[in-house]
Amino acid sequence: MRIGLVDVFDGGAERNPAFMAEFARTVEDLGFDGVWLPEHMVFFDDPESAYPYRTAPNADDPEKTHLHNKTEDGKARVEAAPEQGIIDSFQAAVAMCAATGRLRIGTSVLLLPLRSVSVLAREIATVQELTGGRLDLGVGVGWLAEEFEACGVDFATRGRRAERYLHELAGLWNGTGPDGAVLPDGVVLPEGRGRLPRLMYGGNGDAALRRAATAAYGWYPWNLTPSDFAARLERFHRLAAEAGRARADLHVVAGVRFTGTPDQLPQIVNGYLDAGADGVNVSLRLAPSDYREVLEAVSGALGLTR
Amino acid sequence: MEIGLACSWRAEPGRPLRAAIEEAAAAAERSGLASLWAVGDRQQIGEGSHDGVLGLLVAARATTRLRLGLSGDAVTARSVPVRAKQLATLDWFSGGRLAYGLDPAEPAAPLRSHLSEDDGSGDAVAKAVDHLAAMHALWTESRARVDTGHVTIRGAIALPKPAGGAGLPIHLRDVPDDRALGAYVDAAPRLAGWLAWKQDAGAVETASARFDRLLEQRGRDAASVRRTWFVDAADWPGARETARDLGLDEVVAVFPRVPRAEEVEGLGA
Repeated sequence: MRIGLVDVFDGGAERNPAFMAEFARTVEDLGFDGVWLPEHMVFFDDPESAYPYRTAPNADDPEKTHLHNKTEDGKARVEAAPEQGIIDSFQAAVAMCAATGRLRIGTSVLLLPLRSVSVLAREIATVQELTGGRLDLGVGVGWLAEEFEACGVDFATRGRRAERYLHELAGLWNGTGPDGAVLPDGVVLPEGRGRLPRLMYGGNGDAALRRAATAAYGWYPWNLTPSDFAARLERFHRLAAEAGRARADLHVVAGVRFTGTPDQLPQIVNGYLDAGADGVNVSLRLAPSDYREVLEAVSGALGLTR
Repeated sequence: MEIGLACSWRAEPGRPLRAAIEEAAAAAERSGLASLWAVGDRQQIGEGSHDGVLGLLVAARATTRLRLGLSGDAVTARSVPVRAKQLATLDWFSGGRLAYGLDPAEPAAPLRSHLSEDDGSGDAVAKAVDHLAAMHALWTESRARVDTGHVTIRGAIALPKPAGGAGLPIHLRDVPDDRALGAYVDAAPRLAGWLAWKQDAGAVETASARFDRLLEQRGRDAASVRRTWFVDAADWPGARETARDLGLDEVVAVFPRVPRAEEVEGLGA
């Protein structure tokens, strides 16, 4: 059973580098597979954009959903503090892997359209080198239009841009450009890159599913009920097969924001796993004061150290 | 006068990069060196170096005092919020030890296309000024607002911020283009240093005097801006004496790969 924890490291005084290292070791010792890190470059007080994952499966009946986010003027808001920070995911990955022996670190999700694809290729190669290949890449297209404006990237075409980047990333990784041409003269990527990390496309909609099956190497949906997940996964399998891709070469992780008690967690986790997920990521929004006790209870409920 | 170390993040074959960086950084601190620098963007893409920021993060974890530097970011070709986040994070991990070196040379096509989809049209200097202003706003303002020709940010919350609340100390690489260098000086609110990259001693002396004049023309205090000379490690013998004679603040040995501890220790001997 591969269970990942989604949590935020904000660059504040409480969740400092020493805390991060201790957190990572605790997670590893308790049998979790990985820590997954959300990404935003900036936040805004009152954005026009609405957070798209406003409902989550219920703890007592995962086939039903509830609103778990604050809503203002009819717009769902992302769970964030008024002064919310997030540190760079790749640096967090390197730091947490240095403190542990097997823990994987994932992005949940890296905002692909905001990046330069060849810079990203170099960064991924470096993280893989520095962590012994323990990076998992969840990528997505984001939802905060104001963030895209700040980055100077067109919001309306972000999906197409992400799809193109997925193809380019694979090409660059193999030392060729997107059209099979070699890299520009004078551009050299680090040697010994090994294989690309598991590269899962985030999102629940049809476009996300298609890109996950045909351009990425896996799928990372968020807050689906187990039966919705099962139905979408079947479609993912069909699209991948039509693209000539073997299921064994793809990776699927179901992600969920969970607000119930630890003893309620196995029901939803097993729902995803029984439907065919390779792993499940759980966002618990842990507090530094009692995260260890909560994780011990969750690990015990899921039998992670048995 | 201080001495420092710079290198491409490449390890000898068979040697894990992380261990190599940790060993070199610890040796540098133990030997009394003042700084460790990653090569700039131009060198990074040409030499196949691993990412500069991530290599410095490893060095930060292995040390407590060493100043950590990027020696030549091509700021015009990078996304402002993405780069601002990476640098603020590195400063946070290192406890405020990051020095931010900028390369005012207009990026050549391979570097530009590597870093962004920018087609290179427009005035690169004007763009650099806008990017620096935006980066500084993200680092210092609780709700960053920027509306220039190249960047629009409307009340962004960008955290963490570099230590001290005044943005990162900026070090400018010498370039022969006075217009570009002057514009970067004007755009750098926290100008801390001037970097001469692998120039011979005569050229360093001339360029440093030219930079003095450029600062004086702008009413800036030339004495408060550090002068750092990067020298090929192969040319290290004699470089310290020359640097001292030139009145420089720091001389830095540049290695084509991560040096071994004994090579680092040899710099201070």
